[in-house]
Amino acid sequence: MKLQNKIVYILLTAFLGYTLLFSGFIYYSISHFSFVDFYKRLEIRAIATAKIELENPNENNVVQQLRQEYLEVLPNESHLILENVDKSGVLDDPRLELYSDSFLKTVLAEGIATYNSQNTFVYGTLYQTPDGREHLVIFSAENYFATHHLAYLRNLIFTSLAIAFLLIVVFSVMFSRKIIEPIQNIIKKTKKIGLENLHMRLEVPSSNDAIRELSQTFNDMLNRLETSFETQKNFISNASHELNTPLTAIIGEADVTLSKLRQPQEYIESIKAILEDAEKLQRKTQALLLLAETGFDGKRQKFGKVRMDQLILDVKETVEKIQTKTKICLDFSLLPESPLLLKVMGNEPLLHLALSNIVLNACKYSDGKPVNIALGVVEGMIIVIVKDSGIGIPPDEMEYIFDPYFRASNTKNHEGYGIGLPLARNIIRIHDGELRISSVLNEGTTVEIRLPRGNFQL
Amino acid sequence: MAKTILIPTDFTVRSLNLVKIALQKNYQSQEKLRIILVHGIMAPTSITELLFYSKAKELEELENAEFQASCKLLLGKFDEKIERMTIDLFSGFNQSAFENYLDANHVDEAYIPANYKLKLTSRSSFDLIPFFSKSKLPLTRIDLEGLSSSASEEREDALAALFFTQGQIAR
Repeated sequence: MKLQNKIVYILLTAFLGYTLLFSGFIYYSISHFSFVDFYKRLEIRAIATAKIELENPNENNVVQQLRQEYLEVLPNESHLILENVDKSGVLDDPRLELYSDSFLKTVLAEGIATYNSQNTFVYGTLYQTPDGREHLVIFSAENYFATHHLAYLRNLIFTSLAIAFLLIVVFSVMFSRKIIEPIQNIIKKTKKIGLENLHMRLEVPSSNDAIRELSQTFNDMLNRLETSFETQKNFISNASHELNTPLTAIIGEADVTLSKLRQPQEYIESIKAILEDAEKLQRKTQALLLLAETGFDGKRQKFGKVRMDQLILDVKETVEKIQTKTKICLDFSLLPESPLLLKVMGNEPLLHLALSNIVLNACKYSDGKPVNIALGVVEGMIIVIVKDSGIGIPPDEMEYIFDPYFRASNTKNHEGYGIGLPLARNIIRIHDGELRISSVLNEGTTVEIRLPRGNFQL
Repeated sequence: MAKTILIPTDFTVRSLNLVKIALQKNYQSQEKLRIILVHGIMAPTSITELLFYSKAKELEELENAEFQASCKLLLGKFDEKIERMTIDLFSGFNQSAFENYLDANHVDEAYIPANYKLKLTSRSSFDLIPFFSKSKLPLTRIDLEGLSSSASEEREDALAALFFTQGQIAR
C-alpha cells in the first residue's frame, strides 16, 4: 500500500472512530434522559389523578386545581384506575388487555413499573389510599419529545457525520500530501543520481527535521561513495601521466645506446642515466601507491587525531617525489604555541590525499615556480593556504572547477583528467571543512582549506 | 612594563603584516606589547549624527570577516606576547591633535609602511602617514610591497596576504 494512502486511512479511522463514539454517546444519553424525564412526568400525573379520583372524588380540592393549572395535558393521554384490586385475580380483567403481561406482573410484584411500545409510554403503580386499600393506577401518553426531538437529533448527527467525513477526507489527503512531498522530492532527485553524475547532491532544507537529516545522510553517503570511486580514478590518472615520462626516458636511452657498438665508458654513463630514471620511477610509484592506499585498504575512513603541521610536511615529501622539479616553501610563522590547536579529527590518508592533490595541482600549473604552503589557526578553525604563481583559473570558469572531468580552458599544455580537485573537496567535506579558491588569471591561485579543530585534551 | 606600539591600518589583511613584523621584532624581548591599530576617519559634522555616533558601530562597519580572522590568527600566535590589542579611530585635524593622541595613549613606538599607500576604506577616511612622519616618535618603516612574494596584484583582504612574506619566514 502506498504510504500516502496509509496515512489517509489511519487518519480517517482515528477521526471517524472518535466522532462516531462521541455522537453515539450524546445520542444515547439524550434519549435516555428523555425517557427518564417522561416517566417522571407520567408518575406525577398518575399520582395526582389517583389522589383526585380515589380520595375525594366529590371535592374540588387543591390537587385538582394544581393539576389543571400547571400540568400540561400530554398528547394521547389516558388513564385507567382499578379500585381495590385483588392481586391474584386482577390479571384477568378485560380492561387490562391493552397492556403487556410482564408489565402488569412487575407492577403487582414491585409496586412500580414502566414500559413503552412504539411512542406510547405507560406508567403503572399500586396506589394506597389512607384507608389501606390498594388500587392499580395505569397512566399512558405519547412521548412527543422522543418522536420529534430525538428524530431531529438523529438526523442532525447523521448530517454532521457526513460533513465531518468529507472534511476529514479532504484534510487527511492534504496532510498526507504535505508530509509525503519532501520525501518524494528526495526520491526523484536520488533517482537522477547515478554513477555518471555522482557529484550531484540533494538539497538540504533549512527546517530542522527528519527530512533534513535524511538528505544530509544521503549527501554524506554520496560524499563517501564519490570519494572512494575517485580515489581509484585519481590513481590511474596520476599514474598514467607521471610514470610515462621516466619510462619513455629509460626506453629512449636504452634504444640509443643499443643502436651501435660503443665504448665501455659510454655504456657506464647510459646505464647510470637509466638507473637514475628507474629510481625516480620507483619513488614516484611508491608515492602514488601511498596516495592510492586509501582506496584499497579495508579499514579506511577511520577517524583519528591528525596533526596538520606533520601532515603538511608529509605532503611536501610526497609531492616532491612525484613532481621532482618543484620548490615548495612552507610558512609556519603564525603557528600557535600549543600543538593541541593543530589537531584535526580526521582520516590521515584521506587528508593526505586531498592536500597532496591540491599541492600537486599547484606544482603542475606553476611550471617550476615556487609553491607556498602556510598554516594558521583562527578560533577553532585550522587554515591551510596553498598559493602558487601559476597560470590561474579564468574567472568565468570558476564555478565549474569542482565538476568532475572539468578542465579549465587554459590547461591545454598540461595533462590531467580533472579529478583531483573534486576529490579534494569531497574529502574536505567529509571532514566538515571548507575549500575556498580564489585565482587571478596568469598570476596564480590561492586555495584555502578550513578544517574544524578536533576537541582533544592534553 | 609593557610597550605601546601604534600601527596605522586600513582594515586590509595586508596592512596587518605591520603588526606581524612588529611582533616578530619584539619577540625576543621581555616586554609585553600593547598594540593600537589606528585608522584616520573624520567625525560626522551634523549634530544629530554626532548624537548617535558610536565608535563600536563605526568599527563594525569598517572591519570585514577576513580582517577579524587575521587579527585572531595573530592573537592566537602571539598570545603570550600581546597584553592588549585594540583598534581605534583617530579623527583629529592637525598635528597637535595627533601628538595629543600619542600622549594620551603613551605610545612608545610606531610602525608604518614605507611605500604602501593605505587604502582609504570609507569616504571620510584620511591618510595618517603624514602625521606619523612629522611626529617625533621612533618610527620603523616597513617595505610592504617588497615583502609580499608576488607583486601588488593580489586581493589585499584575503587571509593569504598575511603569509608568504619573504625574509620573514622563521620559527
